[in-house]
Amino acid sequence: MGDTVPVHDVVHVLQAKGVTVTAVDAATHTYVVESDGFLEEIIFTEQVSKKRLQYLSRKLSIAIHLFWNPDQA
Amino acid sequence: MSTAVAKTPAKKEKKPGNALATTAVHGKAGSNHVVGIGNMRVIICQEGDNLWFAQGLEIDYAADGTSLAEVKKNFESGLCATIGLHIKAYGTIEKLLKVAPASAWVELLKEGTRMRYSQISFHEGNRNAFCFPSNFPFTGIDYLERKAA
Repeated sequence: MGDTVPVHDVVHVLQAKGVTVTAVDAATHTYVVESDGFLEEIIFTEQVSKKRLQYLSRKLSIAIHLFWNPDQA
Repeated sequence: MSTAVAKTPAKKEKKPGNALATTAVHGKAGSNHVVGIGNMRVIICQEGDNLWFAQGLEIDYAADGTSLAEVKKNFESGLCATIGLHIKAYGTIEKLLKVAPASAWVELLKEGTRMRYSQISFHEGNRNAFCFPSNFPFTGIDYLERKAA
């Protein structure tokens, strides 16, 4: 398991878990992420760090291992 | 007629130090909003050679970047945009005003240096916000930097 995950895999997992992800500027990986009272504009890096994944896991109640295994989401 | 008199608790003496209270102010006039965030602390961590992560303490918001300058810029612009989203969606910023849990930052507090930074943003109806973070020196948010092991 690497430390980072490509941003498109992160977006895929979020959407698969019912989170609304709207691109504001795909070129800069800027998205509005919304789910059950969680509403944030997030500017991702192309490779998403483990700490960001922990943050998303914590705030959106998504099992963190899914980000490394997006096909299981 | 009876009057209830509550005993005034003795004032606690403030401990010496440079602790500054974090403040959040939201003013509204019609569809115009002004939001000020003051003295907020942020922990910044470097992960690997070119990944940085910033975690707010008094406001549980985080940002990413490929450099220290970029993670600060993304924190500022992302937080400003998020404030605008909350104003449009809820009319308030109350849902943003949640302290990050200790599990998210206590380990990071062991190392780092502090800076302070404050942000003011103006939000007008559905138009984009005007944010004034970068024009201020970083004297309002505590930036606590930790380098990768």
